[in-house]
Amino acid sequence: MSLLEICGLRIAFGERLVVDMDRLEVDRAQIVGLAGESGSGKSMTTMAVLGLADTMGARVEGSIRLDGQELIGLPQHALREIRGRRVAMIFQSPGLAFNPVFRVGKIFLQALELHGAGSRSEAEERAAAALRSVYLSPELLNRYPWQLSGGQLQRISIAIALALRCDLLIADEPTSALDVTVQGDVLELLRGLREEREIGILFISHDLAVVAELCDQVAIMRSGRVVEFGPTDQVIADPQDAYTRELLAAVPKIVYRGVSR
Amino acid sequence: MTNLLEIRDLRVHFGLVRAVDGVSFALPYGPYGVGLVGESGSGKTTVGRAIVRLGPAVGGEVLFEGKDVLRLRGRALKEYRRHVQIVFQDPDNSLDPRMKIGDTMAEVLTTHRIVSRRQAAARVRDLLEEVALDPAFASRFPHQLSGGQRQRVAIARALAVGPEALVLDEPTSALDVTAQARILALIKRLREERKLAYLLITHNLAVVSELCEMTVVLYLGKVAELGATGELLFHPAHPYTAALRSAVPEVDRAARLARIALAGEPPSAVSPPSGCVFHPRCPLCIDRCRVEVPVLREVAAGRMAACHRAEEVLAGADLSLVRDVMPDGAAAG
Repeated sequence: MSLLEICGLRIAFGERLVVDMDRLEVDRAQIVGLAGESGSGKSMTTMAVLGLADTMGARVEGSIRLDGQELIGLPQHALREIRGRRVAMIFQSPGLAFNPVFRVGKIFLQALELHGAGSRSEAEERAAAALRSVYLSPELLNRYPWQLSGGQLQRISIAIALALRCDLLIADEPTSALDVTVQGDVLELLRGLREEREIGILFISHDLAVVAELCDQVAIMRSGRVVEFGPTDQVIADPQDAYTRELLAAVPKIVYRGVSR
Repeated sequence: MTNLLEIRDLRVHFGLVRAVDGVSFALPYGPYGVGLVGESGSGKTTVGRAIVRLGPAVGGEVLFEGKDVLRLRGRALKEYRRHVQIVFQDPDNSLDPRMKIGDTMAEVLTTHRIVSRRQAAARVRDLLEEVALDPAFASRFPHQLSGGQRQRVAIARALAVGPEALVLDEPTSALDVTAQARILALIKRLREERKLAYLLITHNLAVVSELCEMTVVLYLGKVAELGATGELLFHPAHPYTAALRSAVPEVDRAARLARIALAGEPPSAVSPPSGCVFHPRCPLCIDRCRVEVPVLREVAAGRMAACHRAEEVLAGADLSLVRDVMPDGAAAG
């Protein structure tokens, strides 16, 4: 049984079907990429996994199972137990994901206390350990979010997910707002989570080069549908769908000759 | 005169922040592309804005055909803007949402007295066709167009005055990958048709490799390295260029390089490090780098680098770095 199994997922706003996904699976210790352009339905899919799509006014049908447990139709109080604790999420703009008026430590401990970390001292210990594992000093807990760089904040987002001991991490364009050298650090961290903690990661991105470097499997989405799904190397080397080929051709590559005339 | 624009020792300071601290390079006559690359806070956008006089410069010169444009005022400044235009990253913010596309473009044409009010509509249609848009878009509002189409409008508007040079500030960074590919193809076509010179500001080395003959790498307001794009990307002379290049994700497995990890976080421009500004993160840092500021010097034919050990980097020195356990604590503390 896979960690996450999406089956026959249909998300609609009124008459408009925005996601129509036959099948998508994420195993433990596996990174699955969900790639496509703006409006292809990537983010709506993640909202459905978090049980948030219907709060946005969407109608959700089909099946989303986490460890065999059906999430669609679960009441909000049950979803709250899963969201954050078992399924964590990191966002594109870490600057917007943190409340600027609270110190990072307060935000961090609040998350741990909400999801049952036991005593305050245990929570503090877990927070410090999680920060060290993303190569940050626990000192940073005393800072405000705006005193930190985007890369540091994104690593803190990951640390919170780690401290909560989540099973599934949804990463929605987590490196798109970061500089390329910092992006490399974050990608390396995500690989570490897969290997050392056996976390399953659903990685949303429009950047096929990043997906190619990071993901074990990739699903290419277009207009709400998965047009191609398979092992990343295979999809990249031998794309079956015309749209996948178009996307791959559009990725700019570092060439020696420079300007072609 | 071989260069259309020459930037000499340009300095832009915001209070204590030395955003641009002595940058020099040249933009030859078109068709020619110069790439200006660097990460957030490197000063690349500030350089671009200073060149088109949208931002203040505290020192240095920007020479357009030999004349310093930093001193221009009034009519002379307006005249300069017919020659050098800018296209911004986000067309959502650079196009007035309440004006029809045609009116936005006609405004430029009449302000600069390119054509009379009566002839403006016809010229707008020609310009839209030149950037491969339906001339009927003239009667639409920006929100009725896609991001890629809006960026085409922004380019067409910049071309309206018939400039010799464009400053393109991250023109594709807000776009999807297929829209990006189409804009890059458009820039390639326009540079030949119009003999355009452009300064392409971007963080994307692949975009630079496809569109620019020369590349300037900025780090914390200073030029780290500059030279012919292909040579610079494949045989870097500055450790920062090498690290930047190695961090670019590649679809093709064979094209991937071993990543050179940099220690710590990018430093603050308020209190730049002593000596070489890159030294706290550099895998090749020696004592000399901590005290002596490296000057930008010719390290190979047509290549300038600001690094005491550039020859070793060019010769392929090992840049792999053993990561500190907690680099950030040290760098940020």
